[in-house]
Amino acid sequence: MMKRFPVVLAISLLLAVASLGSLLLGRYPVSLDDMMNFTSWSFHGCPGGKEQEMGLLQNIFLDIRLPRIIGAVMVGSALSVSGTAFQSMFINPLVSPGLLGVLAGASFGAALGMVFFNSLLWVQILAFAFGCGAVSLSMVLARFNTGDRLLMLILGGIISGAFFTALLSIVKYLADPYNQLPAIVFWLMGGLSTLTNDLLIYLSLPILASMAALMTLTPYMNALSMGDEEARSLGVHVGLVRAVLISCATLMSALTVVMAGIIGWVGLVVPHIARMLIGPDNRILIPTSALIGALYLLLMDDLSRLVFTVEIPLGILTALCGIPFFVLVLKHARKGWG
Amino acid sequence: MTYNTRNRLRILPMTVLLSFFFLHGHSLARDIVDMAGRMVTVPEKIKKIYGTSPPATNLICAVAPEKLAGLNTPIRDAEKKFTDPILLKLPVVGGWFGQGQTPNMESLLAVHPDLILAWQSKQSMKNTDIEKVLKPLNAPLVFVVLDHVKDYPAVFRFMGMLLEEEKQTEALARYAEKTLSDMKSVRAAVPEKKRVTVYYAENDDGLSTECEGSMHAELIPLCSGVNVHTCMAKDGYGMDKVSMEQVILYDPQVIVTHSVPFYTGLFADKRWKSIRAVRDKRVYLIPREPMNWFDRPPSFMRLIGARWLAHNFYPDVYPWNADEETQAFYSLFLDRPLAKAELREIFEP
Amino acid sequence: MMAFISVNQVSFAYNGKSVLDQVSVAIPKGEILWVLGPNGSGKTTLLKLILGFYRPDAGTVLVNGCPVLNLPSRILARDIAYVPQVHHMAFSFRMLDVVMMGRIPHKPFFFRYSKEDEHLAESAMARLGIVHLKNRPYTAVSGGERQLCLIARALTQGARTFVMDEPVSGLDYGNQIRLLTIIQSLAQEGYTFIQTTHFPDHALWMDGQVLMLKNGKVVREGSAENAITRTSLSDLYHLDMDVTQTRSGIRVCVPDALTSQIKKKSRTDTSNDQTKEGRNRQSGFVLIKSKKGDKGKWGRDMSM
Repeated sequence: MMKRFPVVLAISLLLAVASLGSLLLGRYPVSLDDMMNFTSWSFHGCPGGKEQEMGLLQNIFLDIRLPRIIGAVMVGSALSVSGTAFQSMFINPLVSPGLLGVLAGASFGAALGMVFFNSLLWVQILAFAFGCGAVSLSMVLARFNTGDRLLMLILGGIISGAFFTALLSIVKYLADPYNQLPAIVFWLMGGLSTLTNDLLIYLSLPILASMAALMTLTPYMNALSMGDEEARSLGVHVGLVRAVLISCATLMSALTVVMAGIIGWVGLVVPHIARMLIGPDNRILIPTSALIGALYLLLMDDLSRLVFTVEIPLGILTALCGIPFFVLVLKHARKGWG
Repeated sequence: MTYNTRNRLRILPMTVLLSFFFLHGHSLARDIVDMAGRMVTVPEKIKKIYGTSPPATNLICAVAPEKLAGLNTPIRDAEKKFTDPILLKLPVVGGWFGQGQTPNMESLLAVHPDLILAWQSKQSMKNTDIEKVLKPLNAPLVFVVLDHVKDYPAVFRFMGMLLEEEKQTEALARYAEKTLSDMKSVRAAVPEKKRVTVYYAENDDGLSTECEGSMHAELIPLCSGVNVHTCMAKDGYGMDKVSMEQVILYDPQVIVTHSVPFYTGLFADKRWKSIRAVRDKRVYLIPREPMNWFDRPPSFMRLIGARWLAHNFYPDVYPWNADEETQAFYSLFLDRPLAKAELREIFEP
Repeated sequence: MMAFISVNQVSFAYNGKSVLDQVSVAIPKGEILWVLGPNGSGKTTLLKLILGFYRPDAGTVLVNGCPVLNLPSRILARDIAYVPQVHHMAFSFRMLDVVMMGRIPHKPFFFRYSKEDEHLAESAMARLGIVHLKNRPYTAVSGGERQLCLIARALTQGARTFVMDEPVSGLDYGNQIRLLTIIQSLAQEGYTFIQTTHFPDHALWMDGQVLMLKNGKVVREGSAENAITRTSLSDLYHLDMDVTQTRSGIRVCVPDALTSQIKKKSRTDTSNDQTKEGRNRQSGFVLIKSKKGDKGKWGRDMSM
């Protein structure tokens, strides 16, 4: 555990630098001069270059790179925050945002949209709806049984996740193998290329709102990490707080699926990195997770769009880079989950 | 296998068959040599034939739909309208084409195929594997070789010989030859410097594409277009993801796509507006009914697809009458004469 | 005097298996109640029923005359604090962060900890002599220090009643005694303690009231001095026990199996057993009969 404030400040600065840097990076070569010219052109109207050239730059900076950067920041932080909240709430550092089936449900919804509606809007609506539906199902299943609430929720999540994974397989099986199936497969690998400015605006607001709601509940997350009974004896309305936490985390994860498809490992690995740096106190851990998650996904997306002429699906990159890192984290975390 | 030996093999079946006709007259079975060079004994009269994958099945549909035993995949709703009604009644028995819908042996037996037609390609299963799997069916297995558009004339003639439908297949083969010779003359008429650069946009985001050598984009070079995505196709699957900026860098003169959502949203999307093809409004939506004219599945529809595409690439060099040509093609290949209104449906999203 | 907490005829079954059977006990303010019994006798379940974690199948638990299940957890937490067994925590919170959680029942729903909260938490830690550990991770300190941390949290909570589940288990001998001293001094200030224990000696040393549970039933209750006898212990643990007095006057329990070689019999405790009834009423500890059939002398005692 390090001193908290300098760490958070350093990560914030890194994120700012990375965001600016990402604006300059891309397959289309743009120099710092171009950027200066473009800035002066857009603020003062001074033509630093030809009008058409500026139009292209505007296109590249504002319509292509900016939404991706903001999208990466949003998706990365949303996944990390909901992962952190889940890990605290379920007192289990191996839990990820998909625990209650949100990713499986959203995948199924998206596949359904691709096969039966053939429109991007429907894909997004159904992904969101089924993501939330899968979590609701796991919560209903947990109600069927008495006993340890947390355990029942986790079991409910496993059942719900398996159910929707099976449904997804059925949809894949039924999909037209020429266009729809490959589209589903690629979509499931995740990526930010479909993100447009409009979509970003609609989706960012609920994500930011959920994140803000989670931030206000961080002291309760700490208490919930002590176990249900202890939390209750401390005066926490466990049922209510958990329902709010799960709702916010689910909303955020489902929206990331709408934005970028299935992106794994971020919600599992980033909370660990954050905890290693500043400790488990959710009051500071949640914002730190958000920053690190944003930075992580931003860098991954830069890799995804820079390395080859073809884009590497983002979900593959986050997994490939996340797994070795996770092994490293485990090695350092032998003493307990610090 | 070199190009030459393969060509020789394609002539072989004909000669072998002819000699058998002279020797045996009308017997209950005849021996033929299939396009993979294997000697196969097939029934004198073939009543039911099953294709192991869509390319094979499509061939049967074009030559003798009434003899098809079963389908590989369900017919989509949009497809139904332009599909021969005979096919709509057929059971879906699945096929071997790299997807999950592997047939149940018993349902295959239940449709009683007396001949199995398999597509031999680099991507599909090896010959011996297919033979092993299909052994329980106890029906002769015949291979067709169909890797490129230029293989169609030979394939059609082989099918005609096999199913004794030479009259029909000769017309199909002639059509294919006409398409190929047309494309050759386009190539001769357009100097290399004047050839259009083409981006093939797949997927609803338009950001998947095919390498220039890919079988999925074979029509682009055939129609003398230059595929901007220069790379070697690694596998038959294709659909390389590319970034928006890569497309801007490619700056193609023409975009072809099969995705309706992409096509309809494209001109309103700010990210695409600086691309030459979008500025010049040279984005073409590939007709898709009942089968794609360009790719996925790669079928004989490409024979008309090539003419349509060549016309869009070089309207001055290659004029064509869209309505007339389409009607002729659908009558000839799909046995489905089109009304005027239906023509619009084919060309519009 | 009205009992602060009263458990009336409470039965509880878990997955169809009866854990507690018509258990009654009344605890006035300022009392120490020791719940004794073998493993699986329902001690911890009783504590959790008192804390309102479980809903009894029959009977009621009243706190200040109000059913505990009707009390919002926030209100209950201001009166009753739970000090669980020293546990292994998944996350290494700072000691101070753990103690500060005690402030939750005094805050509105949306809140941030203030400087004052931190100050209160620190002074509770200082009181137990662990303030120097406030920035150490909870997972990195000793079992005794963790237990003190949980008690500091209970103090911060402002509750005057502590429900403790085997507070000394897992502590070394020195820490056990230090913890008992702390409990004793808090009890003298008027704090109420309800605790389970596997050490009848501790009850004997510190006095207070004793509730003996066996198979979910109350088998004996009364002041430690009266209830902890050779016969009651032998019966409770299925083990021949001896309760003997040391020269300093303190009584201790010794298992016969270990002392049979040392022939040193003291029979005085049996007489003690019979003569201390009078103290029961004075102690203010109200006994309620545990079940109808069990009309022992302790059962008659409580009819009010």
